[in-house]
Amino acid sequence: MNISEHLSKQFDADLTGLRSRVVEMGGLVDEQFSLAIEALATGKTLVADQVIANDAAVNGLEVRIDDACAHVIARRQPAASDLRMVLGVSKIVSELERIGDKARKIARLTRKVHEDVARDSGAWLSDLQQLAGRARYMLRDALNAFVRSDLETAVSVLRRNRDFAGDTSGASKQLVLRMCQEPTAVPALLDMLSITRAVDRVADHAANIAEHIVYIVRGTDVRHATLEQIEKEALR
Amino acid sequence: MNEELKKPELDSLAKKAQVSDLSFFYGAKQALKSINLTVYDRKVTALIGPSGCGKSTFLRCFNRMHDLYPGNRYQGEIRLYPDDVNLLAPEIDPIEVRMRLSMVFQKPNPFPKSIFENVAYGLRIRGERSRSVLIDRVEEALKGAALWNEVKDRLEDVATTLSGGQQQRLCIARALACDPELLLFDEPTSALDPIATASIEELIHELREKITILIVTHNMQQAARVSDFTAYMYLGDLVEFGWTDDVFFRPRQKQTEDYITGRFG
Repeated sequence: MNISEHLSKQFDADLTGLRSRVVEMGGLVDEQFSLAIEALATGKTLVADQVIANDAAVNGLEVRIDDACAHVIARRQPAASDLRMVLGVSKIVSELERIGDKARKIARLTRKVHEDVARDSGAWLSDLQQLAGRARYMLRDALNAFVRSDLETAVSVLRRNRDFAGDTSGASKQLVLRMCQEPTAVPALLDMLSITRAVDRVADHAANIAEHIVYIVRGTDVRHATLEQIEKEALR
Repeated sequence: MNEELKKPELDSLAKKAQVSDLSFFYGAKQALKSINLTVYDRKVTALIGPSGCGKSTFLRCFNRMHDLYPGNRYQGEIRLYPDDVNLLAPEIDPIEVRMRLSMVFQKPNPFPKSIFENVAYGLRIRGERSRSVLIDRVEEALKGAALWNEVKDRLEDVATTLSGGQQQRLCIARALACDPELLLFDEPTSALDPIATASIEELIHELREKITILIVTHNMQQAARVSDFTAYMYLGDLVEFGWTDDVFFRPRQKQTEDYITGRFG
């Protein structure tokens, strides 16, 4: 990545502004997700309500950053790495917004399922908290990789997501198994299944961000490539 | 890779010219340093780079314009196809070279003659005397330069009464009338407003169906818009050459990247 400055200081300021807003939005989304899991674990409905209310701020940032991207394109006609950065930022904010939606979804379901979760042996909750912690690390690493244009870290997020998908699938299977054993608990178990899937999707969005970083740095669209192909392209 | 954006293999494209080890000297000062570049047939190749990089010097080698001044010296070859003749060979008459190539300059430079006579000029000096042939060729060239509809009723007017954009299209018509194999544009729109610029760019887009075009431009967005290939030059060196899509989206050289993203100091 190019780290030297533009002749136009204002252009530098525009691009730096875009990057910092992505980081700001990433921080907000990370907090939303973390609070949603906390609400689920503790049953604090006020925290869940706060997550639901804050989602508007996440959505607002998505719109503002996308708008700023459009203005940079219209006014600066960016090329090469600058163009890829602007396009990449626009894609990354979409991923972040969807993570925000997942946090809101978990917060909404928390209000419904908390009593059932509390009655549960706690095994599912503790697994879920552990999975959510890993998803958060993936998100944070993806954001750090974005800030530093660090392809090693981006690829490590993608590698971790492959294992992660297997683990969430295991957790989901457990819930399905329980549905057969406890037919009366099916409505609650379905909500718990939705929460598990939401956590899985958060990790997927972090992995998508990692793919967009490869695009920004290398100029190669790796969205539908295998992990091996991405490693080859990113770490060459 | 998106199938729609897939480009043909370079080996499968016909060549119009091959530049090999081309160096050029203004007296003792070397302005071009051993340039190697292929000009592909019926494609637009843009030459970009900061002032003094040698892009105009390079363009002017093609029609031997440097021969007009003493002390200038070429080394290397520019071979023109299909007949594989070295344009720079001492035994080749520069007038003969200029009969095959036409050039359009930065500022429109119509002759102080009528619109008709401007376009017919090249044909007349080639010995064409038939009035009916001249009328047909002038009409064809003016249509080719997208100017016919604007001037067909005023062909006897003095060319300088046309607007800047029309004058430049007239110069293109004058060049087209001689049926050139290669059209050389040296910053053809730098003196024009955006509307006139757009009409010239549209014309370049249409002309490439029939003619090979080399264009020097300071306007990088223009290079990105009109060309198939882009060559980035710096201090007499050819730094990078490739498909325009690649050069503007994923340049191989950091120097090229710095220039096209406006980081060049």
